[in-house]
Amino acid sequence: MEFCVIDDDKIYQFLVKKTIKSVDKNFIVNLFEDGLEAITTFKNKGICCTIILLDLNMPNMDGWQFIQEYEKLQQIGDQKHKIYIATSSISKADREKANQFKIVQGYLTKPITKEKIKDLATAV
Amino acid sequence: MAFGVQLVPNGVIKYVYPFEENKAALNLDVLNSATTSKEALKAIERHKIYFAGPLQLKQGGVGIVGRLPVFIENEFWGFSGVIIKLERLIRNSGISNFEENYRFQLSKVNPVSGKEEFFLEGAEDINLAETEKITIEDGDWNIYISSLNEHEAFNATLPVLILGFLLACVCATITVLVFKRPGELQQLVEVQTGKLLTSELKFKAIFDQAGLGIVHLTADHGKFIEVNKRFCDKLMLTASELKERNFFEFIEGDAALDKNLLEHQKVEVKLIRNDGMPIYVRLTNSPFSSKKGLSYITIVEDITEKKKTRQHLKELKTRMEMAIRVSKLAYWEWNVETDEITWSARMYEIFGVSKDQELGSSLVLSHVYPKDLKKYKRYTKRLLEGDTLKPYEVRIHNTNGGIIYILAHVESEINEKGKVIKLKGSLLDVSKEKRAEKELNHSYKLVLEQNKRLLNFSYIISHNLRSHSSNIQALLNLLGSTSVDEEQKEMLNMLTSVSKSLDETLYDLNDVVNIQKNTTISTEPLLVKKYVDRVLSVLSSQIRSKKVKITLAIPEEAKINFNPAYFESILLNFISNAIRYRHPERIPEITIRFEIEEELKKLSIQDNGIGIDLSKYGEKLFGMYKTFTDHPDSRGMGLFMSKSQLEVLGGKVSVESEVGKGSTFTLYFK
Repeated sequence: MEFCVIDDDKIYQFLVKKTIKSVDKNFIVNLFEDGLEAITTFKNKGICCTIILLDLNMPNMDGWQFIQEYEKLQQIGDQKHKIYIATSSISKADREKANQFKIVQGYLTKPITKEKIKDLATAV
Repeated sequence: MAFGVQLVPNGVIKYVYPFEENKAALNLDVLNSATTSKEALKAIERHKIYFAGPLQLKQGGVGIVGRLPVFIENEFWGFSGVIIKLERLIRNSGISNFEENYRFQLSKVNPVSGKEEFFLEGAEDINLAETEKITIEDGDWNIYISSLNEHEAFNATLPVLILGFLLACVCATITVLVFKRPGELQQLVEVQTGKLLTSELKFKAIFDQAGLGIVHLTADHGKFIEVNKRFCDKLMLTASELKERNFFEFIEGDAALDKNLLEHQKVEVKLIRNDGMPIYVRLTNSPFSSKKGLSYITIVEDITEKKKTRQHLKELKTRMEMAIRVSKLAYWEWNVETDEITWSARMYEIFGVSKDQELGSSLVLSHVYPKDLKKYKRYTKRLLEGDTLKPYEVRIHNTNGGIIYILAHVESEINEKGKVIKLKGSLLDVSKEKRAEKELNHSYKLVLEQNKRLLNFSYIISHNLRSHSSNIQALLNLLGSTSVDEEQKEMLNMLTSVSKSLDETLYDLNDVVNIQKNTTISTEPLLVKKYVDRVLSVLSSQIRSKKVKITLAIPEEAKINFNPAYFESILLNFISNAIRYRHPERIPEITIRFEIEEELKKLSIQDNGIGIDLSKYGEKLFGMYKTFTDHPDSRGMGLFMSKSQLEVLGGKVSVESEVGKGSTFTLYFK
């Protein structure tokens, strides 16, 4: 199983990678600094992951912008990928906005625990 | 024998008969004419007929005029006169029968010249010493008789002759006065009767057909002697019904008891019609005395409608005045032609002008708030051209120094030629409402602002604080489950880093909360140049190391009203941004320019840096924690804070930018 973590917080990147690996050592984790880096990679190399953990607040291209760009890509590709919002925001507005995108599978609030990763992995 | 008769009222000949032969004598004022006045006065003095003349008649020839003074109640009325031509008198007198033996002469002392004048031929022959002289009193005539045969005694015949002559004279007079006159008078009476008849018909017609009621009343009881149709119609009664009643019965109120009511030349009373309805009339009373005694001709003019209209107008006026007073309406009128201005009491209050102040357009103009003068004049011009305008607002300052917001409703009054002669309207002092509206707007903005900050506050809490706390949580979890020293060490380093970030975020939060708290931040005049220089010196090491070229276009004396700490922080933020986001391939150039544009003070900071894609980030540029570069120092607080600080003090910021060319941030100060 392959995870894509899109987040500009270096500490979070480190922590989430560790957490995923602690669930299953064979899980692959790809890290992206922001939406722009992720979408560029996806465009060039294709979407390589099963689960995407997407932060909302990022420079250059934030989570929402990423989703819009991603939707365009999705129409071309035929692989199934699940996008989860993973944010520190507990704001109701953000949660509601996330629900409006059909492509978004769920809304996770940080910290991302082992249990949450396990749930995601079993849902696939 | 008479040549004519005449009526001489007041001594002026007014009527002559026969007309044709005697018309030349008309309008002769015998009492004031030199030739006639003496003898005319003699007649008045004597109260008897007096034969004047012989004199030159106006109507030709010589004649004598017998004037009978007429007195009415001992007052001289005039003369009744008879004119006898001398030639005819002599012919008729029979004197010629005696001419064979006697010579006659008739003389009179001319009343004007005082000389004796002779009227018969052969006056020069007569020997006055041998004549008999007889004086006739009724004319101061002298008659002379002398015998042709000198020695013949004529004494015996003389009385007879004289008597004959006198008789002739008297006969002639009597004939004229007594017999001739009635005939002529009869004729005159007929003429006059004809005239009277016509007049009466005319009067009757006027009386009956008059648009006014006319009644003839007895003086004592006000009984109807005669009534015209109009009056009957007015009272809804017939003439015969009216004649059984008296006028006073119809009058209501105190006037009915006024015994002297008819003596007032003009009086207004209320009459009750036959159907019980009241009508208001004005009576014009003229006394009329006849043989039957005193009566009154009374003209009855219906003024009910007039009175109603008058009453209505009066009520309207009272109502309007009351409405103006009660509603505290400021009503005004301006006569365009005379520049006369009328104000209601409230107008004086609004303008703060005393009531004895003379009003005029210049006074009004002097009260219009200078900034609104153009607008006021424009509206007035349109009104004077006859345009209709919606109510408009204008500010005035009253004499007490206050500014008053006025809502003006104005209309123009146009005469029949289409010319505007008056402007009139009302003013409403809407200052209170206006101030409340301003305050409301201000509060609204404040609430909006506060709401925005609250959102920012919750954003910081939910995104930033939580991201740190979640990281700490995750780190602690992992720390517990790991036993490798090296990993633990790494995680502890991370904890330190997170705690530092947490601290920074708390500072940011503090800043945001502070701006929110201090809505009343003190401002003072600041020399723009001085502050810019100070910030440049703070940044001097960066400027030197990055070889930044700074150009200043700020007048030495340029000032803004602002908070010094905010101003410094804003300058530092924008100038350091301009340095930070310089273009790697160019020598950085920064131009800081100060300008005043329509009362707004503008400070622009222009750079030739990397620029911003505004189509992409425009909206978010000034948002909190919005970063658009990977620059390690950008935390997304600077622009947000600067914008907030500017806005809190009534300023704003705008940006122009092109990717790869540079950006210009323009700060506007109030």
